Amino acid sequence: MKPGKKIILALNRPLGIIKMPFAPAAQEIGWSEAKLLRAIKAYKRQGLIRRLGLILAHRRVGLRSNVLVVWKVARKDLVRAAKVFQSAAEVSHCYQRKTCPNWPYNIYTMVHGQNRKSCLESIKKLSCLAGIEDHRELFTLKELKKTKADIWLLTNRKKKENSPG
Amino acid sequence: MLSELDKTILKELQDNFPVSSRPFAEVSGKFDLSEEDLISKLRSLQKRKLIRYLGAVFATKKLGIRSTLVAMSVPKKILSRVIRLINSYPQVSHNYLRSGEYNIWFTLSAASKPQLEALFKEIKKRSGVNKVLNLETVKVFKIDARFDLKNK
Repeated sequence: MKPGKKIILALNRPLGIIKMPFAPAAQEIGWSEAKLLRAIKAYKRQGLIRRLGLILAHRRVGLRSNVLVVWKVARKDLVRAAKVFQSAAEVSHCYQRKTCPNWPYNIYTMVHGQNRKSCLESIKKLSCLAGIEDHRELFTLKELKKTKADIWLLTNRKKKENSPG
Repeated sequence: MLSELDKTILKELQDNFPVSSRPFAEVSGKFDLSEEDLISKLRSLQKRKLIRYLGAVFATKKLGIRSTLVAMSVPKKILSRVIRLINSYPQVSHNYLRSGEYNIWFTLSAASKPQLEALFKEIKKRSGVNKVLNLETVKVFKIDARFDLKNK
């Protein structure tokens, strides 16, 4: 069962660092804490909640260099390359995306490291392991926006209300 | 800087946060700390902005949300206007300035594919930028923004 509006609103924002962090959300939903904890465990099992816990500011915990690496991977190499990227600790995200005219890259990986040099070393290693040479490195110069998706707005607002101003 | 104990605590609570009534009491023993000490330590790490968030992350795709990555080649002259425009959309969760010909990269989400397409077209038109890539998600192989804090 998908979580309803109240649950999404209560859980799609930070929990307090307090003795009973789930209690305020439970109260807001109108459930007992035990019921909310059971529901959260069920959502985790179903994969509706991808994870629950601390999210660190990676730029501040020593990983100052971030690079989006785009790879051109032939269909026959997809599974092998994806396995390499999935198991690499330096890679946080790996997506397959549609290509565009003059943009043949179909695999996207976020690679993190202490500095530019360590990122480049990781990329070299990944390129060897995956057997994929054709790639581009797009270093993060500046974070312009980083927020959590507003799930309730995204799943429920009507189209014409979507645009600002 | 982070002490070894800080790193151990952060790693444990990003990987194995207990879903229980008193999660901090449950894990504090592992670090030879009291529940109160662990909480005050975490609060200070949060104040220092090492912790971005404590809570749940929903699998948006499973909730029916469709998303795409958009790349734009934005001339320097109009860069700040275009950034303001993009960031004003609540459907844009991430936006980055990157090295390379395509310098602006942002994620766009909507409730359905047609809505996503319409939103993309609207932003493209309003930005006035010609070189724009709509890189729709085909498959997610990995999302795991948990970081190995050891040996750093």
